[in-house]
Parts: sequence; structure tokens; C-alpha cells
Amino acid sequence: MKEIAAFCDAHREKFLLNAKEELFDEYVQAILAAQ
Amino acid sequence: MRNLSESSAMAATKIFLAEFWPSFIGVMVAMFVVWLVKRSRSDARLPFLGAGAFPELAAATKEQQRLWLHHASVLAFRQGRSFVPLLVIALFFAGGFATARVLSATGMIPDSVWTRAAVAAVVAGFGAWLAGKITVRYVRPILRKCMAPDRPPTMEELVGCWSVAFALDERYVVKHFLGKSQAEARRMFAKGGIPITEDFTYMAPAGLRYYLPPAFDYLRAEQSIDDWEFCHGLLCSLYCQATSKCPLPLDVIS
Repeated sequence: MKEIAAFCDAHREKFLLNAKEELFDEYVQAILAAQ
Repeated sequence: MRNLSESSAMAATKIFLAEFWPSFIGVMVAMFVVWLVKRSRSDARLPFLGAGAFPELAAATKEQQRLWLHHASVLAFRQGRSFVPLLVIALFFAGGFATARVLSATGMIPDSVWTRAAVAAVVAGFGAWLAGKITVRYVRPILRKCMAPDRPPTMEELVGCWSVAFALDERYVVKHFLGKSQAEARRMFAKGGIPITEDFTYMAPAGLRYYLPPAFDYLRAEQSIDDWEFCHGLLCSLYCQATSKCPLPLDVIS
């Protein structure tokens, strides 16, 4: 999961996602912080 | 003055090479023997390979960890690359030994066996650390391949219950995924969109373990360019999983 989140975060332009998108940022941060 | 420093450099190089080659050849022979012995044992395992370096193994039992590391090692031993960490050890060990000899010959460190041994041990220790890192990096993809189940999950494994009669969301997961191989799922992702990504919210760990790799494969492919629906939808589902009260196994989280 973390690998996928990090990849999507690093390739936002590929998926037409803005560099700053609150909801998406929240998803990424929560997944990367999961233990 | 210049001639003097050049001649000192030449002398140092000569000492270095004279010390380096015999140690390097000796350690290489020893490492090759270790490699052959480890390879031929019934419980073959690569040198420098421990379960602690792989967070994906944390949730497994000791016996399961041993088996997976053994299977990954058997596959890794077939490739010449498995010898690279031992080559690194030999290089650093011989390099450390020769450097210590040069430093003591040029008066930079006291000329005692213990000082030379300490310098050699520091350099060889760094080599061992580097060899361990190289081994883990090399084995990780092989290990993940070994850990991935080779059949689609059953209904219970997919959604965590044996009947979906009263669970609408799980019923969709079963309808879309039950019995599908990873290749079939990978094809489905290209035209699935949000309804498919939503299913990842309701999958049990075994379902995630089996279907996340093809989803990641799709995301990395050129085919997924501009597919914001899949990317956003999948991360939304994984967010739900990550913040759920039921903890996920570490290998799924990582």
C-alpha cells in the first residue's frame, strides 16, 4: 500500500492530479503513516 | 620535492597492491567456498540474509519466514548476481587490510598489529554492511514473488466471510473479483474505473495481497496515463483500509 501511495504521489501529473489537492494529500499522508 | 612526493606515492601504491592482491584472492576463495556450502545445504540460504531486514515478513511465523527465505535463496542462488555481495566483502576486506598497511608504512598510524587490525576491521565492517544491503535489495523482489499466492483467493480470503448474502459492498467485490487471476484483474483495471477501485475498501488482507500487485502494475504502465479515476479511487480505498480499526498485516501495508 505504501509503495502504491508513494508512487501515485510522485507521479501526480501522469494522473492529471494537482500538486496540491487536499483530499489526495490526506490519503497519501494517512497511508504512508499507517503502521 | 615533487619527485619525492611522487616516489612516496609510488611506494605507497606498491605496498597497497602487494598487500591487496594476496588478501583479495584468499578472501575470494574463502567466500566462494562459503557460497558453495550455503548453496548445497538442504536449508540453503544466502549469506547476510535475515528475516529482520524484510518488514513484509514481520507478520509471518518463524517457520514461515525460514521457508520463504529458503525459497527465495534457492531462486537467487541460480543467478550469478548472488555472488556480488561476497565480492564486495572480499574487496573491502582486502582494501582495508592494504590501506592499514600503507598507513602504518607511511607513519600515519602507529606500526602495531592492533592498529592495523582496527583500521582493516572498520573498512571490512563497512563492506559487510554494504554486502547486507545489496543482498536485501537483490532478494526482495524474489521474496515477494515467493510470498505472493499462486491462486486467486477464495471468497472467505477475498472478503473475510464465507457468505455475502447480507453484505452489499462485499457482494460487489465477489462479483468483480472472485476467481479472477492477477492477469484477468490487470485487464479489468484498464476499463474498471471507480466501481472497481471502491472494491479495495472491502477486501480482506488476502484479497489485497493478491490484487494490489496487478493494480500497481497498471498504475506503472503507460496505459494508465490520465486515469485519475483509478489512481484517486484506489488511494481513497487504501486510505479507508489504512485508517480502519482492524489492523492490516505489515506485508500488506508496506
